[in-house]
Amino acid sequence: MKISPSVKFHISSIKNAIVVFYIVIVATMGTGVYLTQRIQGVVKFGDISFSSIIFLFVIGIMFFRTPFNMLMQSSMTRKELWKSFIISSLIISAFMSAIDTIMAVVSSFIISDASIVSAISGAYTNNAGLSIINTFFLQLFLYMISFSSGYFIRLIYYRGNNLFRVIISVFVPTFLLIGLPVLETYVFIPMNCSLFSTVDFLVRAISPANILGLLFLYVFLFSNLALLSLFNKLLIKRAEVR
Amino acid sequence: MRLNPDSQKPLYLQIAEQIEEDIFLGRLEEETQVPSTNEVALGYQLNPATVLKGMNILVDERVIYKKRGIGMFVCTGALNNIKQKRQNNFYAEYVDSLVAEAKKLNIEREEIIKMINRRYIDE
Amino acid sequence: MSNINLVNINKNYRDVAALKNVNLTFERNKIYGLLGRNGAGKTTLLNILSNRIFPTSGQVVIDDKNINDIPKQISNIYLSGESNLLPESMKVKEIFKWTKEFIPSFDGELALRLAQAFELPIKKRVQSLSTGYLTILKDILALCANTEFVFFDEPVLGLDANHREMFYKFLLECYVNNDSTYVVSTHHIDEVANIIENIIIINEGSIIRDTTCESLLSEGYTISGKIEDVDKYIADKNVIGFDTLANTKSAYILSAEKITELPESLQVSRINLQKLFIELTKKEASK
Repeated sequence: MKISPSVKFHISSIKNAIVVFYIVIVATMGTGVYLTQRIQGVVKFGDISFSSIIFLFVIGIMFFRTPFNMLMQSSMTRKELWKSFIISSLIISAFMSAIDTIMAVVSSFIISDASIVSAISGAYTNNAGLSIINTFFLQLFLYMISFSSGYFIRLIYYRGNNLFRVIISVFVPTFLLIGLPVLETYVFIPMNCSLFSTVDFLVRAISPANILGLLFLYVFLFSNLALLSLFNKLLIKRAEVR
Repeated sequence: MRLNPDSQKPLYLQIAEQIEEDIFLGRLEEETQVPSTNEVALGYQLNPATVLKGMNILVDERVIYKKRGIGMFVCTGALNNIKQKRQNNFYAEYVDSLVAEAKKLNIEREEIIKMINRRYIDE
Repeated sequence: MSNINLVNINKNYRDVAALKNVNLTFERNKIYGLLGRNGAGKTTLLNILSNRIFPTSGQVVIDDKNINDIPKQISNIYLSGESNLLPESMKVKEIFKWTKEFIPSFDGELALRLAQAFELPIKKRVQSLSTGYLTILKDILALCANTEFVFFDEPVLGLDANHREMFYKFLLECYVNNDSTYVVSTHHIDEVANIIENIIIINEGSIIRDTTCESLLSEGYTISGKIEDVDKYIADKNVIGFDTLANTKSAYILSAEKITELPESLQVSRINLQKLFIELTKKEASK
């Protein structure tokens, strides 16, 4: 299959960022391994897939402007932009998920420290091979969702007017950092239903112990992604060059 | 070919006149190819449509003709036609202005005739 | 692809009407001049034509279809726009490479030749180009795009006289060598008068002239001669401006009528297009 220039352009615009990201990850892990061998005690790693999720969210935020402008300058359609975003986010997520899975497998030989994703995927099967494949696909979905969410937020910013942008940039962080804990402490806990423990409970409930649970999880993730992509499409459709 | 962009005369007319002049002076011989519209357009930084309009005037006057797929050529007899036309225009173009200028300068009729005779003798 | 038609286009930015009921047709294989003062709506018009922004009402029609319904047609249109959309950190030659990827008809060899002729350093990054050279880069991309419609928004912005002349020369060359339509927006009417065929004058969002260059030229003439003679002649004429030098005076007269009786002491010549343009765009403003 011939990869369209738009997809190539998307990927090449963040190629360097991905390389730098992995250099940092590998360097950190290398230092960690070195330290475990040199000093007594255990060095724990943070979760690689979790770092990737955050990294892709940030990349998603930065992924719109340059390709949008270049595609508009090169007489490409907005539909082409949307399609090539999905394809390139799929390629990048699959690539990173593959690397992260391999790194997780390799590092599990050195230090046993399961990531959140592999803990969820491992809950369903004891077969190591299946578990790895499962990890790969779960990561892939999570990465793509994170990627598309960053992109979605950037698009909302791009399409919204100044007032709207100020509201989002002030209220969203304020709500998450101050509003939620305040609500938790003064509203939910007095009502005897802690918000955080409810979320915790839900996550555990989703964590699949059987094939149906797993299927449900994938359907849930897929519909999330589909919904985000639909929103992105609608936002791109009437985006004007500025 | 010389064009004067400030002249009141439209550029396409100037083009027609210049090509005619080239034929009249023998720079373009009969049955030879006239520079193409594009060559003239590029050479003088003009829109090709302007040049074409000028050429079409000459086509209408049967001074040049179009060979399909090759270009424009000077008609046989074009030189004679041009000479004929210029002879017809000679009075209006030259005698009129000569006399007008002479009047402004208070040059007598006999004086002019003398001058013309002198010019012929000098040759 | 056939003509591009603009049908009843309006564009508002909040309360400001940038375009007011614009109807235009761009035909194949012609050079158009889009003339207007700063802020007249040239950029808005070109951006709508190339689908970069959307009209508030009205539509861009190609082959009887709204351009939104046939997005593929966009690839037949190239706009070298006012704002730079090229990635700042990219080198000029990489820009050429990517443009070739996106636009198959792009002539990469010609681009390199033009870059050499304009002395555009192809190893420099976009962000380090001066205003003039950024304009040149955008011009080269458009000249080599070979799409059916090519629009230039202020293609000589920041260019010196030498480069301007080169641009017009290459524009004409490209026009002669393929059958694209070129639209050049500018406010230097005199520079483009000889190479454009049709002229569109836009003022405060409205189209005030959409005609051939020739017929615009026939809207007036210049009379020059001794001050007293000129003054006497122009007493009952619609004069849009004049220049005096020592004892002589040139008056620019707006009149569609042919000159009938001209005193011998006066000379007539072509209207000064720049003066005509200034007058046309001023008059409409005061209404």
